[in-house]
Amino acid sequence: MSDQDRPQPDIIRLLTESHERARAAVAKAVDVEAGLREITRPDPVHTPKGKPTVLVVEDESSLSDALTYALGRSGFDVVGVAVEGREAVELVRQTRPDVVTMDLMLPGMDGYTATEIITQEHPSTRIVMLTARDSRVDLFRGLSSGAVGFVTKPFSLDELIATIREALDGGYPIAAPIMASMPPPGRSADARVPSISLFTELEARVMRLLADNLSIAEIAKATGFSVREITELQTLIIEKIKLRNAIQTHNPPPLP
Amino acid sequence: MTRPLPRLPADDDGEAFAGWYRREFPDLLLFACRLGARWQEAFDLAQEACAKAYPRWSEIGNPGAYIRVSIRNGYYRRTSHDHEVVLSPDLAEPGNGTDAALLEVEFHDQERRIFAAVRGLPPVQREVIAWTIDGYTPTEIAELLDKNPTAVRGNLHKARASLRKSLAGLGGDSV
Repeated sequence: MSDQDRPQPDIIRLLTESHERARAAVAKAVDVEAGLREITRPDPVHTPKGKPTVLVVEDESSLSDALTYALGRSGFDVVGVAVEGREAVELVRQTRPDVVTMDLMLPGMDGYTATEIITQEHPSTRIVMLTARDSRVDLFRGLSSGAVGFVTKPFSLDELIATIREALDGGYPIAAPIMASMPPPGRSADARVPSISLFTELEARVMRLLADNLSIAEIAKATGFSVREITELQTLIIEKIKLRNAIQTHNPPPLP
Repeated sequence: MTRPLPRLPADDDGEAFAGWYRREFPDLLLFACRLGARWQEAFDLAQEACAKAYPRWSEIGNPGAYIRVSIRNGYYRRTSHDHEVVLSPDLAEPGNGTDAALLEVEFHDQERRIFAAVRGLPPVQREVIAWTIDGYTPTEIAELLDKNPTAVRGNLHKARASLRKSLAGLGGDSV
């Protein structure tokens, strides 16, 4: 150190002494351990060939083995298999897959709950649900928990791959049997449009009734609206849920 | 059945980094704030610089200097695309220049006053002071930033003179 560089016994000393006190205040105000965890947590699985990564969540080993093999042969990189919801959540944290194929009926934490946690923590992960029933209840519950694609069992490999690819492209592929379970949307131009405030209340109520598997006619009777209005509202609800999911995908919540 | 194989650093590097990070992160935050970054921006800059350094930790000989250079480059990259936020010299003054998040840190009044005085300096002087507070000499600063050592000393001299004035009465005004 040259003479010119020797520390000055004046304002610099005041600044460095003040720095020590400021440092103590900053150390108290910042969660250093959280910052450290953010940096040192495992990286997403490396995909040298740019293959989309998939996590398979399935408790039947024969099906998960078949899926792993088939997806691997179809240009996907299967980064793991989970047999129940909690394991799925943990494996997504570790591997950050592009897509999760989610069985719904799992031992322990079910597929809906796991989907909800995963989409909250990793909004860019696309979840395709493999459902055994072609019911709209699964669709509403699944969309509400953050899933973007639905395939009904039994499904063909082509069908599954097309669904995964569409989900990866930002779409919301829904299996034909589920869509067929919905009444066609009304086309009436003079349908009464509920006011915004009423619509919000009505939307929540109709969603609950749909989840309870009431028919459109029953919901119409229960709410005092026409079948056509409830049918249109059902379509609108699906679009709103999709929009909410899309917004969450593009604006992930801040890290905890 | 495929199982994930998350990448983990070698244990020694991971431990060395964690120890360094715990010890140094508050200093890095203050360094970024003194450059002129707002509190949240300072956090992002420091965190980003550490995250970039982490995978190559064992190859970095002087992490303190390396990461500070990374922070200041990041800061100037950001501000070059945008007008620098003019921070109020008085941290407590309401308005656009106030860094509300920084105000939440429980600094003593003296620290607030000193911090505000540093942030009130012209950018070049502010940077020289930020490095100097963290223990770097003008020669080291000049080397790290590829600047002329005489220019660095000149800026340090001006910054000291300016701070002596603005902080008169706090005990740092002897020559």
